[in-house]
Amino acid sequence: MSEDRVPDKDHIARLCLPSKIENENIQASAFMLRKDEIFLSVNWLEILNCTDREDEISEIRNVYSAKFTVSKNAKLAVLNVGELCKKVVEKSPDHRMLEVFHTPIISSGSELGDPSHSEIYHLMPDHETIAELIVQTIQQTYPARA
Amino acid sequence: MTETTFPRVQYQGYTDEIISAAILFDNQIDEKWEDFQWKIPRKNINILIDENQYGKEYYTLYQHEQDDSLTQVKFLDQEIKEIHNLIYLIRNSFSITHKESIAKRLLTLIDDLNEESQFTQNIALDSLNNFYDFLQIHPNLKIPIITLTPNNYIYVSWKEKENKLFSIHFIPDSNARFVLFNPNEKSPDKPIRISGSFPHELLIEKMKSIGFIDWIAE
Repeated sequence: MSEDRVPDKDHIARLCLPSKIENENIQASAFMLRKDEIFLSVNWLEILNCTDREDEISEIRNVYSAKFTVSKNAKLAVLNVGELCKKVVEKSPDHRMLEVFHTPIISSGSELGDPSHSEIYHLMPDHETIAELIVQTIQQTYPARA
Repeated sequence: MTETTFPRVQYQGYTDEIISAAILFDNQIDEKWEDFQWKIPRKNINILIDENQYGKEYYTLYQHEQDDSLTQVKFLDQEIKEIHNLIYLIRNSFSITHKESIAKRLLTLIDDLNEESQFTQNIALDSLNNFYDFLQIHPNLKIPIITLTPNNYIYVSWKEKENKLFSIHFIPDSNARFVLFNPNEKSPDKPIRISGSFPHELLIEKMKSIGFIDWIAE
């Protein structure tokens, strides 16, 4: 894990696949972990140094489409780090303190890079409750592919 | 063998030999399984077949060097049949109030999964089984939001507003996990948030006993 914590004032985007969306609304299942996963992958938007949110989203779309086929109904959920952490620490029964770290993926061999890749830690245990709280802090959504 | 015996076969990166094997597979799905094994070259195969009697059905065939690989193929095929059979049972249930909408939603989720990955995926059978049991015990609930977790387990939610929701995570071979957010009329600044795990067949009764989920009943 990198030591670079994503600042509270900044924003992250989470790729939400169609099976986690109903009637255009992203559900808590989009913020749950797979068995054996310990963090949730997101992208730090401000680290991209774009001029505006649209450019940031466009940059994330480019990274995704270079790495894998993005489902046509997938969405990007944008969240503010500080708001997300505050909501969870205040509302979760165990006052969970989430942490978001910048963990860039560097291109190597056949693996393409993802310079804004970041990770949210401490969703387990009881990731259902944490995910229900996180989903309430979504600020904006965008189609995951242009 | 003509095209008319089989509406559509989609394939990716096969040799002609594999295409013919796929057609043979569909026409003689169980009886000729042993013959079918001998016709597949030793490489990975991914076949999508649709428009059969269940609506849509997917077969992923992995053929590796190990001898047990084809056992896995047959298991997947059987599992897919069981998943579609459960959806069929929901759709044709006499008691489930929203049977048509729920069955349709489950089929949409299967389509979503197959769009999300280059590898064939499906709803986790044991999770769906638990959900089906749950629906049979509680046929008259409002229709929930149904999605899949990253492990392809069923996750259902009823929501009225941000601080009023009830969600159930149907985990295979285990108790269902649940989340309940409810306003607290006596102390509005202390909303109720409960989570935990409980046998899915008893969960609603348990929640009713503490009086918070009457609003999810029709």
